[in-house]
Amino acid sequence: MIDPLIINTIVYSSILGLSSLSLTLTYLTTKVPNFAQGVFLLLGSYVTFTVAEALKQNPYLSLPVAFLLGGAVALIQYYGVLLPLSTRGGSLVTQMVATLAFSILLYGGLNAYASYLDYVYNVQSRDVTLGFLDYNLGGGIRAVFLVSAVLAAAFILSLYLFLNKTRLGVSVRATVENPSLAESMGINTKLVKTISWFLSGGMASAAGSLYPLQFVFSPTLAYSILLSVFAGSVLGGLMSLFGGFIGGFIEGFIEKYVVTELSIYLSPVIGVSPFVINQYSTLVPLIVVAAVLLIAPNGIMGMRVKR
Amino acid sequence: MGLASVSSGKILFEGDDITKLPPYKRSRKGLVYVAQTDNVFKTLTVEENFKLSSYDLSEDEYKERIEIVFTLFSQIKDILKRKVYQLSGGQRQMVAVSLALLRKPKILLLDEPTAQLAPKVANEIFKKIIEIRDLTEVGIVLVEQNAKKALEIADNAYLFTSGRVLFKGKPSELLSNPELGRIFLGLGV
Repeated sequence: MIDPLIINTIVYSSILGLSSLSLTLTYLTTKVPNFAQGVFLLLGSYVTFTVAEALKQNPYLSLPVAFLLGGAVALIQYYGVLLPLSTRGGSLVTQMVATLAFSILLYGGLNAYASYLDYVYNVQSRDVTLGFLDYNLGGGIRAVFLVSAVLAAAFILSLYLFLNKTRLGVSVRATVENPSLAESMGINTKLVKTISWFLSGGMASAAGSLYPLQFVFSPTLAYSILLSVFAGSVLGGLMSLFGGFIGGFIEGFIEKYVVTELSIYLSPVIGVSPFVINQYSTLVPLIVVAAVLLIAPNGIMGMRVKR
Repeated sequence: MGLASVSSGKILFEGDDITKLPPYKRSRKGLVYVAQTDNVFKTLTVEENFKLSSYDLSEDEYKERIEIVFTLFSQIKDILKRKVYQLSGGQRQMVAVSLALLRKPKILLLDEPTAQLAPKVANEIFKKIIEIRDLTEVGIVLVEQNAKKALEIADNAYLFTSGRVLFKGKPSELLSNPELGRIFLGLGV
């Protein structure tokens, strides 16, 4: 029997870690902070909802679908919004605001889709969890616990091998370090950016597809989790992919585990129910970002890299 | 090189119009550029830099090209495993030129290769530029603030101002033209 709090923490932290990693990936290659990252997670969640609840299929079938769909939508964002802006001389701030606009569009679309599911399939598509559709492995453990950990490990391992062992991966690293030099060395940096956007959208949606199997989700998830994703990336230093994952994981650990434990200790002291204190976990991302920027502006990975 | 935007005119390379070609395609055609600053991957080792620059070459081609680099810059053998940010300005510049040479250039574009270098190291670089020309027979386009030094080693000279060619001819003519020399090259008074 594993403590449910630990299961919650591991699932949430893995999802957040992958999302922060995805955010860092496109930030490194195109320098644009993607405010649509939260909606990509939500997209994955609705893929799972569609597959498992509306179509009554195995919920894990949604993983590859969410990955491909998330990647495709990210490419639409890159080719349809960001690339036209940057070729017309749009600044990074313009592009950043454009990601916010794109996220609102996508968010509206998903909300409309949620209402469509409500009416056509007669299911509740907001404020629901799909935990009951997950496989029970016994001992209070459900499949999503293992799948989230394995998915995170698999993505990280494949990304590591891709970046270090393949030519294309090496050219991604070159583009991150110095895009114009990489171009001069014959590297197609536009291809590199295309790949990074696809992978980023894909990974975020795949991670988001696991969320409904453990937690209650609603379209508002897109923006409530966005802060945590950014906090994770900042904590990771915004200059290292694996730092992004670790940052996201730590952020998730603080939000779920530390805050819950803390609320149990604090409750008798200040005379407020632990559930009330737990509501304040949304403050954690803000505190983390502020603390990181004050104490270690380069994040956890910046602490040991001395130049 | 395609990194800056072109407002008018066109660029021909071996008879083809390359004005709209992205930089990486120009580089693959043999037009290789060494920027004035940020011309090496700083966080990587010298060897990793070489691997990146030659990533579209075969193993045999790489060996052949690296020999040329070692012939020109014998010191590079000793610093292959060092990170580039640990190197001196002169060493970095050698690595930057080596990166370009590995790419089998037909034309080598050097943007102020002696900027920010001590005069002694700058002279060393000028000598190497002549050696590169003689050894590899590559065409070199050199943009240089040390105009006098550059004109002494050049075969042809062009004087650009505000995007127009003001002078085109033998370096000796430019050096001996008192007016142009005074205004643009800081020669004499």
